[in-house]
Amino acid sequence: MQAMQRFKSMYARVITAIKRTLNLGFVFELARTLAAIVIALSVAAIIILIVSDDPGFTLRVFLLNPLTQPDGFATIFSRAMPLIFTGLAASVVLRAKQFNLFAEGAFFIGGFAGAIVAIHVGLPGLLLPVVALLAGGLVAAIFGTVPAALKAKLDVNEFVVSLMMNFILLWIGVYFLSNVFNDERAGDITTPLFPEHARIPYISQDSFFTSGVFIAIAAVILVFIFFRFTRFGYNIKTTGDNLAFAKYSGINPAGPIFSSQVIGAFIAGVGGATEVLSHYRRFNWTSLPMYGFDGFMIAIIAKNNPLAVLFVALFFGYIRTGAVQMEIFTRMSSEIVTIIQAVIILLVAAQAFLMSLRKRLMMRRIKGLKHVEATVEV
Amino acid sequence: MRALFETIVQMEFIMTAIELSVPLVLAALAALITNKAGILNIGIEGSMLMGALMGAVVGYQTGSVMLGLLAAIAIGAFLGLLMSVFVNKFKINHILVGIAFNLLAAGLAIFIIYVRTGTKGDHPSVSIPTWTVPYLSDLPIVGPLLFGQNLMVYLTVVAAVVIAVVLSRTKLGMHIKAVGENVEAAESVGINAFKIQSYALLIGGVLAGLGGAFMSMAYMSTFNTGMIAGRGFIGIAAESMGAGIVGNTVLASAVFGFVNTFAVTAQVTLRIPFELLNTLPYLVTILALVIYAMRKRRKQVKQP
Repeated sequence: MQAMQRFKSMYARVITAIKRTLNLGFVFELARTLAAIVIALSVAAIIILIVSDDPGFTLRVFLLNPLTQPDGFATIFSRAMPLIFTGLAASVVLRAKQFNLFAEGAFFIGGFAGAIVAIHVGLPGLLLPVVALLAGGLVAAIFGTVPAALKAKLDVNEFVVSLMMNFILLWIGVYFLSNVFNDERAGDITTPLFPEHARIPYISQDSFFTSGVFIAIAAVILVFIFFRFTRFGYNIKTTGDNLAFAKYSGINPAGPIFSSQVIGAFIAGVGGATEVLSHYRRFNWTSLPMYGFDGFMIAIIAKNNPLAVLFVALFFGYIRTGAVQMEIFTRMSSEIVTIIQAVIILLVAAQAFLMSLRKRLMMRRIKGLKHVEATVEV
Repeated sequence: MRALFETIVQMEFIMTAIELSVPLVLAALAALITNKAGILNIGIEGSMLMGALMGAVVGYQTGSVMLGLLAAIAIGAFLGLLMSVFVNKFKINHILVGIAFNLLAAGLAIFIIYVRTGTKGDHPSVSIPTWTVPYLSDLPIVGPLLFGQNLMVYLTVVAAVVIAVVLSRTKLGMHIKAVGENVEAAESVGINAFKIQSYALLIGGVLAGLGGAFMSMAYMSTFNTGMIAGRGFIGIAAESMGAGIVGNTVLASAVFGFVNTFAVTAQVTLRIPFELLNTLPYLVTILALVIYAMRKRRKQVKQP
């Protein structure tokens, strides 16, 4: 009986959650984001028109090849996978209004730690990749405590510290890679090959769709549940939304400020390990992969909503797949995507973009309501 | 220890340290003036990259050092103004604008190089000359140190002095600080915050552009897409270490330049792995921030 009631209340909560997201604000935000995407793609198209010898063909390759190529969808998902992880990491951190860029370093060191565990820890079967992923997350989380604790305890600017941590971890990683874990026979700075059973398998032999994508989607669902249904998540949200209110309602902000940043580092670390064990045969990163900064942008476009992070990351995966196709088939540099991304992020983040339109819509609605009230009174 | 000492006192080492400090000082000054106006400008990294690129491209195309430098200044100023518009008119968080600018600059630099040369690596450039005063530069030690540096070194010293004077002695400096302290309060006494922040970002952009131009036109005579290598970020770190005081900021940047040079030279003479030495500037920054925060906290405890 009690279980039934609990189920009912749960059901009601889910329904209200869905209703709440489908109000005018949500629809408007969606339209705004789509408008930003259209404008950004137009800017890219204009640049292609100017630079390319055969703009029609170039545009077609860029926009349609990812969808029409046999491996297109698999590649989109594969490219989106790391972005889903870093986007999620950034969204957790940003929920608590912490400007922590550590996802970058966390992704790097998580990938490195995952690789080392995969190579040097002898575990049987499926246990090995699972432990390697967790190790990646754990190592990243441990380093992530530095900016988190300094912010929570001493109010040191987490932004600068996390930026510095990224470079520190990069160089520590490169040191250990080239001096301790280097494969002498490879003739390059890299670890030995991962054992075959440590790698996260592709779904089928002839497709590039890695099953790491499912881990990323699972992470999306976990973060969604974390914020919707747990007290811990609620505290992080409240601290981010309104610090004064959080304090007033008995939340010690140091807790959420610390934990949000560490959780973010953990997610990014798992993401790094997943990326390395999915798409690489050995670890050879000697520079920051930049997925962390991308994740920050994705989280902002997605308004820190984990489900939206998934879709924005997929969109980024799509334009990047198209850009690489374009570089292969035409003489156009794939870096054009950075222009698209920058335009989208600036337009979406611009509070003023299309806001007057929204105001007008709202006013019309309010006027409509007043009209109804007036008739009722009569 | 002896080897360490001998490395540091060598003339060559000091000259390199000064050279490597120049872009850091310029970046830190850029961070300082924008920070005073209330904007944490992490777009400095991107502005430096674009400055380096434009300096090299325009300088090489026209064969004129002067035009190259002007182009670097112009792109820096343009990006600064653009940032001000995005922050003030479109109401975008300034950190976000900075990140977007940096990512855009990194991509755009490769894009432009690829369009021009068909490769994604280097672009030729021109060299800003070294300024040697006849006779004086022949003096031992003091000669090359004071009278034999690259023109940009002198320019940087001038820039530091100008920024210090502007901030402490002029109306513009007062207004910048007022806006940085409290935008609403400043606007209530009739200061146009948009205008003031634009000036600050413009000056910061010029400094960052010059810092970038130094990398591609003086430190090296080619442009490389990875050549800024976080120097803008180190500049921001140096600024937070210097706690907003021009002298301290320059000093902090110089320390970073010194450590950077040490990291470059020590791996040869001392056999210390350069990777670990490379972490030093960042570690020092965190340490400095912690010390600064602890001192601030102690002060707060003392005055209840």
